[in-house]
Amino acid sequence: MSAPIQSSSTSSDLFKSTINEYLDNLPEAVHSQLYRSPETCLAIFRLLPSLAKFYIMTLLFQETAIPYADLNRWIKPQKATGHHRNANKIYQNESIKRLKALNLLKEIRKKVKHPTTGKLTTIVFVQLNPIFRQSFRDALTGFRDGIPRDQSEKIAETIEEAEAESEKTLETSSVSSSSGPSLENLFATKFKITVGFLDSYCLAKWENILHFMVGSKIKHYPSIGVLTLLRYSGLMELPSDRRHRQSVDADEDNFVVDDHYIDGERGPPSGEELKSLLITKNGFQFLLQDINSQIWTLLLQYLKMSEKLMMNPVDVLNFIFMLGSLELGEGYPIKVLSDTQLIMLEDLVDYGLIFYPKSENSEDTKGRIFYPTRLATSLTSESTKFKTASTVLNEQISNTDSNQGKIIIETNFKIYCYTTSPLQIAILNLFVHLKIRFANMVTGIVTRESVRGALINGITADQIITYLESHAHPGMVKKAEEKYAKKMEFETSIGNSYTADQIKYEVLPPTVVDQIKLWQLELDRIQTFKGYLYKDFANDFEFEKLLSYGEEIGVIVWRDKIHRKFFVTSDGNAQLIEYANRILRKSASRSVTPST
Amino acid sequence: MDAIADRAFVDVQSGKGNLHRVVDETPSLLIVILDVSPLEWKKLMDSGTLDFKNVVSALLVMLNSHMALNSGNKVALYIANSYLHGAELVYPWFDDRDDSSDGSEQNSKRRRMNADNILKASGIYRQFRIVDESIVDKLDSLIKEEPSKLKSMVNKGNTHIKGTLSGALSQALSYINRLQKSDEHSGLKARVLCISVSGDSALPYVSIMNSIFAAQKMKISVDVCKLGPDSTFLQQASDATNGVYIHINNPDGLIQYLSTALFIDPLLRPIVVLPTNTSIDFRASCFITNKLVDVGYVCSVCLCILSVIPDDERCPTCHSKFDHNLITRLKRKPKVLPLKMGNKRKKRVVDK
Repeated sequence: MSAPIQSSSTSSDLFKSTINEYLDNLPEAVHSQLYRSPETCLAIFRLLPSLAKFYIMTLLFQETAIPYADLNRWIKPQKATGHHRNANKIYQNESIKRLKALNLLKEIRKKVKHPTTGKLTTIVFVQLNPIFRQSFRDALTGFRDGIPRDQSEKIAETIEEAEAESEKTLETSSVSSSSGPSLENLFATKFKITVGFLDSYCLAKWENILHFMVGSKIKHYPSIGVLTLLRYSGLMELPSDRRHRQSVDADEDNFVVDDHYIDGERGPPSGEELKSLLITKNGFQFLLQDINSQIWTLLLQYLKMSEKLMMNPVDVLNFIFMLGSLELGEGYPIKVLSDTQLIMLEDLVDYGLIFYPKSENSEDTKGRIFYPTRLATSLTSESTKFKTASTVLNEQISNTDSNQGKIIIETNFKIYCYTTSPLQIAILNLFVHLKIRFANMVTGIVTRESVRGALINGITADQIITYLESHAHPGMVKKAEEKYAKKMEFETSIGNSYTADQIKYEVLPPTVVDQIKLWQLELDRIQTFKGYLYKDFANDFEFEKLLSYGEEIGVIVWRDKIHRKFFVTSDGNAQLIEYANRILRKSASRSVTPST
Repeated sequence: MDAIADRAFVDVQSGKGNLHRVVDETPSLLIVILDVSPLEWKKLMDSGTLDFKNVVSALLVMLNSHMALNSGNKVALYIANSYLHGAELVYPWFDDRDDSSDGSEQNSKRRRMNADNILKASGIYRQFRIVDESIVDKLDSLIKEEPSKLKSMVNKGNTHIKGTLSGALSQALSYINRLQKSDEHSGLKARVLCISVSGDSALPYVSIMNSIFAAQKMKISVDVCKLGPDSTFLQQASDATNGVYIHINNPDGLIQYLSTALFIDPLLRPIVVLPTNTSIDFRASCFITNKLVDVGYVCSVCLCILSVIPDDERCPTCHSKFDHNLITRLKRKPKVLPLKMGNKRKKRVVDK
């Protein structure tokens, strides 16, 4: 019934909302600077809800502004009955809100003469942000007057050709000399970097960071840049940080504490010191996310850190979004990058997002090429359920070093996980009571205590569930698919479309999922919402009218029809007040008193 | 037993959210069937309303926009009504010679060098460029070779087209089916867009209806962008499959149609009002004469539709023998009853 403001969300959602939030909160000037880059437009476009995308497409080739009402006309009306709020309407509102927050949609008010009555009325027209419209059109049509990108493309092509040529010569030479070419030689002769090589390269880099986080023994520590970022983002902390935090306030958020450590008080910790970093609660949550969200979490922290370091956020964002539109396995010259982006390049190499071969003749910086890895090119692909780059990556992990492990969970809460990786076991240990470890498998049981332990550490039930789902054994997935297909077939065969819609695709046993969620509910019996209470209505009419409107746009948290009261979320309040004023103006002026 | 294992804990809020998240994130496949019938295009281009180049460039922009929606989105293009190829897949085309990948790469580069006039490959997103270039290349070679093929066909006295729209449609459906069955793309949503210029006469009725029903069964929408004469069958196709049928009279704004009315993702369809026409011509075509039938005969065995009864009194499709008595009764012309009429007239005359 109630709509939690911080609705429970899966890890991928978490990322999406955070990057969206970050983008939303940028000032308009930054937005318009961002929209000059077609790649960025494309990436931002992909982050929008489907309906918002559709709206943009309808407006994209429209030279004139169109009435706001036309946007509503696309949406199928749906009867809002009882507690079933109009889902379409809510979805539309969300979409439009996003468009406005990103300054993509501009409202223009125009006085228009009514054709029959001749009265002047104000009609709201909407138009796409002109800068965005131009860049996005360019991105889609491929026509652009701007010079820089053209050149870069040409460079890319010439380099491709040069590569192909050198490859030929390499082939012939290697045949004649018949000696196995060493790695350095290959880089020197611009050896074609294969996708497989890039995959294993970025995985090794990324895994190394994760292994460092769980504290397993590793040969090469991640670079100082990575360690600083891990500490800054509150995923890890120095022993001294921990003591400090515990002494200041046991409950304080790690992010805040870390912030003023970065800001000074003491000099930055040395590299040696940083190697003794310990993982925090947030760090554990981080480990449970899928690889794509992990990267985004780090990149967002990187964005925040780069702002402090006075790096231009537009450059940084453009570079991140550009990476998403690059082709895997292709080389790109560093010449096209700005100075800020060159600094970033080095950092991104540390995270494994980019492969940047060190050439022997270091003075020849102009011709150097960087290769985006799969971690980078899958940044803007968002699909979770389908086989995208990130799942390919996960499979790669499981194939190469069988680190990802395959989990079987039974209805009796027993867990079997085929893994040898200390990383996987450490993660499982967060919420599973592990019992026995075999050569290639660990077994354990999910208990109330183990889950509560995880929950108290700040890990949510949804995180546990999605982790189990995404690492489920193929056998479980197959069984779930069969069951889903069977149910679906049965329901559709008897024509029960309503039930057919309700059928869920469940990989995990529902009992286990429910129980984990119930255990979480045990802990938070009280939910808090910020918002406004509406009471003391003059009459039933006003109450009903406002309530139904509020329900329609989905901002009502709680209602009491007998005492004529309801509670509205803080962000929905303005909209409701606007509506209230409108109907009040229409009817006789009666007072509604909003109170907090 | 199953009921016990069912989930009891239903989170309404997340359920709604999930629905929309699925809408937001599910990749989809767009298959475009482009009617390239040379004679029809000649007619349209001579009338000055339509230009093949413009249509293709609008189409390419649309394909790009579809790929822009989601990184998992895919496109495919079929051509139909070509004298040279019949119905054929233009993109993605599969190279059989996998081993000679270097050679084909060189080829593609050479092709890129001989850049076409329609598309200046300048600052364009790489993925788009690959698609656009291969499509333009293929269409370019098609246009070059088509006239000679057409001439030779006409010289032989054979103007029969081998691959019609229905052929392309059934190929497209098979393509979708194959993708959806594969592990990689299971659950991929798909829709088909036909850009048609030919009239109904070019469509074989039975096969087009069969493809429509197949699409309906697969829950794949068939959108139709109709240039030139109106088509009854394609109207029925879009109606049966919850698609959009738009007959475009003013092709200058084609890109606006393609990016708005014909751009509704399969998953958005439950939410969005479809801008299609509601009055649909449901007439069927005669199996013998291939003309639209207002009132006709139907074979009681195979439901074959006839406007005339064949002389041998057998169904042309299933060869079942019609009842001779019945046919004579059906064929009987309405009789005028002269006697009564005569009486009345006489009476009236008498009255006067």
